[in-house]
Amino acid sequence: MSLIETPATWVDLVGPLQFNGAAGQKSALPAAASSGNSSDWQTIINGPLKEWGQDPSQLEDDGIEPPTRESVQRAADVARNLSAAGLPAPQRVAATGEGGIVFARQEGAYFSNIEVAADGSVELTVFRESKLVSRQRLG
Amino acid sequence: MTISPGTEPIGDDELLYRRIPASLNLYDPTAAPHLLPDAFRPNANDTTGLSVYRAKYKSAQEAARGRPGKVYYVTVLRAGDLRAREIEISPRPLEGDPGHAEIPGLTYQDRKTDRALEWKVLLSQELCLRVEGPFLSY
Repeated sequence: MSLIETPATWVDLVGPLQFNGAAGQKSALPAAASSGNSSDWQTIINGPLKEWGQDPSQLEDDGIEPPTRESVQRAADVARNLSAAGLPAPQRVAATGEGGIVFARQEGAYFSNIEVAADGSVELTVFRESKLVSRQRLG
Repeated sequence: MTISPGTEPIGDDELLYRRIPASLNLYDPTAAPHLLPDAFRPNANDTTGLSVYRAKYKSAQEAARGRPGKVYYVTVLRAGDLRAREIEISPRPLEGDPGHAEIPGLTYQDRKTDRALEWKVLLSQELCLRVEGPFLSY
């Protein structure tokens, strides 16, 4: 069964993602499986990401590094990329406290995190029953 | 001989608090998963271990105290549950804060290891008994 017939999940993701300037590279993402998730992704881009990008200082706290404008922009790029690929939107989006953004999703027994770090790197980690089963750089 | 408050061993039945700023959106009681692993992410101050607070020395509201005007949640853990999963917990009293303790296996330096990532998920998804708050700090 192809990925086009099967709803894509985060567990299916294989990096790296394509970002601006990567034209011509072969996409490592599965083909778009559904466009029904795009509005959920858009809600995240226009909601918390936009809010944090406009005023990251609201997250300042002792020992806490708010997301940088760059990491917020990078997270929005990741969101658009995964949305275009038809992947389901995260159930949660949060600030890491170390200058980055994290998208999280529970899919059955699998818990997945996509972290966009302050330095712009993107990493996917997948856990099953709290055990790390996959860790890969997406960008 | 007198034992200084906070230096006595942590009992298995003791409850521990970990404060999380509400602004980070790491806890949302209306969404699933409710609590994200980065609630247990060591910050640059956690060089010798992840800071937690012993419930025998302060209330959850006191453990939530941070910057004035900010809102915090407090996660609740049980020491024996952590030890059962081979996560050690040690008393580390500070001046004026005898209830301060640490998880020495979770440090800022080692926060990106596979083990640290697994422990953060374990703490957030299996070992957290409940989350209290939100508390407005003053």
